[in-house]
Amino acid sequence: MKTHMEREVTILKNRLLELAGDVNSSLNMTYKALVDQDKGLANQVIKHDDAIDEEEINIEEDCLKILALYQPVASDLREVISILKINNDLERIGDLSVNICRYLKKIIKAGPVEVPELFNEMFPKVLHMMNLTIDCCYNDNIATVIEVCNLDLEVDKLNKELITQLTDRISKNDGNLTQLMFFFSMTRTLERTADYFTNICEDIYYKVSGSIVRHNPDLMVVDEEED
Amino acid sequence: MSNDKLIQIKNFDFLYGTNQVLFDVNMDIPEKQVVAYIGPSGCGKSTLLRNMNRMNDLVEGISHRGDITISDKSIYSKDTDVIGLRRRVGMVFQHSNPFPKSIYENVVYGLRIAGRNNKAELDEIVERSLKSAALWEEVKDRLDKNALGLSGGQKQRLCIARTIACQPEIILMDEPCSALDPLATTKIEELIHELKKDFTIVIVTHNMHQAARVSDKTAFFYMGKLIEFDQTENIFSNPSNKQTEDYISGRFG
Repeated sequence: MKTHMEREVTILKNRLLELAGDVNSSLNMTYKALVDQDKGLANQVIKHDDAIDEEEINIEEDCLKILALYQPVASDLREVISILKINNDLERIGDLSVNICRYLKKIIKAGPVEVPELFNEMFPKVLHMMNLTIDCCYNDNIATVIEVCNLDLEVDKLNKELITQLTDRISKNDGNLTQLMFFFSMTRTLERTADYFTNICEDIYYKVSGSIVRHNPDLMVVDEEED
Repeated sequence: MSNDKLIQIKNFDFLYGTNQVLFDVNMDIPEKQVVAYIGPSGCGKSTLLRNMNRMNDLVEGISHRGDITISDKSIYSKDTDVIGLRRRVGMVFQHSNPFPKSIYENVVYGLRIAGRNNKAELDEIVERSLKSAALWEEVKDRLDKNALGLSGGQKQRLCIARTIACQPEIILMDEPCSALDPLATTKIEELIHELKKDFTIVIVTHNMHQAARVSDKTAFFYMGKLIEFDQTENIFSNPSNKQTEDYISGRFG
């Protein structure tokens, strides 16, 4: 039979997954708004962020309540601490989606533009990282953590390429300067978003294994599947 | 340099008659650290504690296999002075048990038995011991008053002072706070933190959070076996044994 605390933690975990779903939806809408250059959709993402902020506070308060009332230890403690940290990271990812949408609105306002092709490589990778991260949150499969970390390296590489391209175009005055500057901010923000997914996966790794691998991914040990 | 193996428990079995209650316990207890023994009732933790100063010798029909050494010397060797051992390895019990004497006489009780009666020396030891037990300020003006008039928490600290007065190396504590209120418990726990500067402490407790708060290392016992012994922070954040995890998280049984 589950203890009272276990039931509370299960409820909390489900709420975290719902929040992750909300953030996932915001990020997907952000990409669609970018592709379609849809200002209305960008506004929806910005507006929806208030609900994400509110739920983040609620989840944090419930984590603190569980810590204060039940004083969990061992895997229970790691579960609550990881929820607390992941919750915070999800809220930040929501904020970053808002930032991207704000940049997009400035870009749209400056006139018609062609979105740099590399965004169509980079954005889907970040969305794939998000999906893997949610799966990882759901089933605690730490093999996914490595996959997400590897995708982050690819996103970093694409970000560098985009920055080189945009810097080059800015120096050559090739295009609208305002739009190029905001694309520049956008790629950096998207790269930061990807970093948050690795943070979340590292927190899940900690929850499952008890090891803190942040800043040192070489410490990660994942059992190879048997043939 | 501190001794990492001040107390060594080696392949230790213990039996009451034919009823074996400890099975092949192995453990090294480092000097000037606090080690907590945890586990459900009847798991053998108090029995092991009481073996460490041979208190169980007083029980009929007991026997043991294996050994317990302190500073590499067996406490079971034929030339062991058991009274001397108990002076070296003091004990504080679940229920404070001051004698119906003055506070002063309670503290010097062990010393008087050892034949030490020099008033100046005893005065100095009483003050030092009561200060170490964080009781001096509360009783310094009434040392001649009956110890039974003290509060529960004060009585327990008096018993700790009485133990310290004999200048032991090791203090065994068998659920020292189980009969105390939260405030008195906090005082004893703070005291344990102070005492470990000078003494090695082994404490049996049923309070998981007390073990987490006061100890450097924690040993989990179940059905007479030592299941896990590790740094307390590891036991409470990432125990390596499922039984330990279930016990400390309250999922046992």
